[in-house]
Amino acid sequence: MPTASAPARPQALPAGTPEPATLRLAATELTLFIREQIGPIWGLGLPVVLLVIFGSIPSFHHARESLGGQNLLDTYMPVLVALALALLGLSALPSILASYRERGILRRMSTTPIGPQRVLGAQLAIHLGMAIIATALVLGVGRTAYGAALPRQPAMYALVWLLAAVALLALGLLIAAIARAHGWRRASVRPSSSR
Amino acid sequence: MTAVVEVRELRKSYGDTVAVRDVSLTVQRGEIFGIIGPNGAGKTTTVECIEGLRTPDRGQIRVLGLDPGRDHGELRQRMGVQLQDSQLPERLRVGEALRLFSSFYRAPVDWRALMERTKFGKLSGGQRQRLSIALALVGNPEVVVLDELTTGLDPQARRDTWTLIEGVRDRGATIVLVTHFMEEAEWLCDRVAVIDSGRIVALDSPAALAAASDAPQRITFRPAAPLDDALLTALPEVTSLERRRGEVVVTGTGNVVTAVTSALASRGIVAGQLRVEQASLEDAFITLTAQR
Repeated sequence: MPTASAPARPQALPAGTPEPATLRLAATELTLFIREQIGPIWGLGLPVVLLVIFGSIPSFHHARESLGGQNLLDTYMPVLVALALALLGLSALPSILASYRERGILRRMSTTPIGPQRVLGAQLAIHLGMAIIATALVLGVGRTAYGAALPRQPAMYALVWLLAAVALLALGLLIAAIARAHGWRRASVRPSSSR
Repeated sequence: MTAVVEVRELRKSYGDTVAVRDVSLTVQRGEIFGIIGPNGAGKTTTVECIEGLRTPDRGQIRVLGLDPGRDHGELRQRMGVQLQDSQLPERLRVGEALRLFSSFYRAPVDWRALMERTKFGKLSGGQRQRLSIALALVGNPEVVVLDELTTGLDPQARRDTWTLIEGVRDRGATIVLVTHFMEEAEWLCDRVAVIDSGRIVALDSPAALAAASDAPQRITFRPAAPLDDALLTALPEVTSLERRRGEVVVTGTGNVVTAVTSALASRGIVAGQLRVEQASLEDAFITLTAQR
């Protein structure tokens, strides 16, 4: 019952069928990201759940003098988007990368043609993609289910969003680079225990 | 014979600690080359420099004619590596790991035959070790560097792994093996470098190292008839004799085996359950690394 009996008679695969390594890496990292559940639950789930709660409170739909005639729900929309970015950038990304470092995965990758940089690149791309999905979800659900206002200046909104996303992901990389022990990471930014 | 791995006057220190003081070695194509030594002797640092994971402070390294620091792109295609304690993501499945790693290489072996759905986190220590070996070989490498190959494996799995490594060598790969199992080095390696305190203290075939160690030989037997100790202790080759649980244990050097058996034969005493323990690589290792 060999689980990973190494190749007994190694034979090279017929040439011409190599899988693109970067794509395979990205696909594998994405599978793991979803399987880990932390990123999807906190980065996508929490902002949407909060939106549903806020949207269901009648007083959130009343225009308020103190907000310049805006209602609370519209005020909270950017906050929810920022929350999704922060959870992905400051929690999901550093906890994945720090565990990769602790387990020697980045070192192992350094000994393969793929190198550790592309692992970081794949993770950044996945988190950025998730942030886009989270933003679309918050805006879409807010608009269709609760009549929340959409950004009035889409181009400016996209620019500010991108700056925020890049800043938070960069912070996440910094945390992953300096956080050595489990404890520090969990104490600082981790919203919940995973394992 | 072509040199596949060449290390010349390697030196590497971490802060004030000198891990590798002066190591030079050459590994020929098709060879299984062992590196043994006590903990902290610099074995892992040496192979990490060969793998390109560390930059030497001094000295020169060539692997397949390439510089591990400068030409790592090309070298990583042709070198398979097993690190001492590297793990994989907990939830990565075995088949996914094999598929992922095989995608890194130009001419990988077929990983599908090794497919398994178990997640890494659910594997036993021995299974993890076997996966780690499989991942080192999946790229069909010309050079394989294995650090602590069979640690955590049970005796049967260890034997199977040795057979596997011999098979990899037989198809032309060159293997550098760090181990602390003397039996493993004795079984597998064509040549062994003994490293102690960052230096190579001996480099030869396991048999030659064992022979040079001049360790005493031990003969154990159960005499069929009463035996007078003086008969054997009088022999010049015998250094000591003791009795243990009805058995006679004779220690000696040189041609002690012939001397003892002929002395016994001259009195017509049959030596039952006769065993001879000869100097092994382990004896050589202890002799070599004790004299610091």
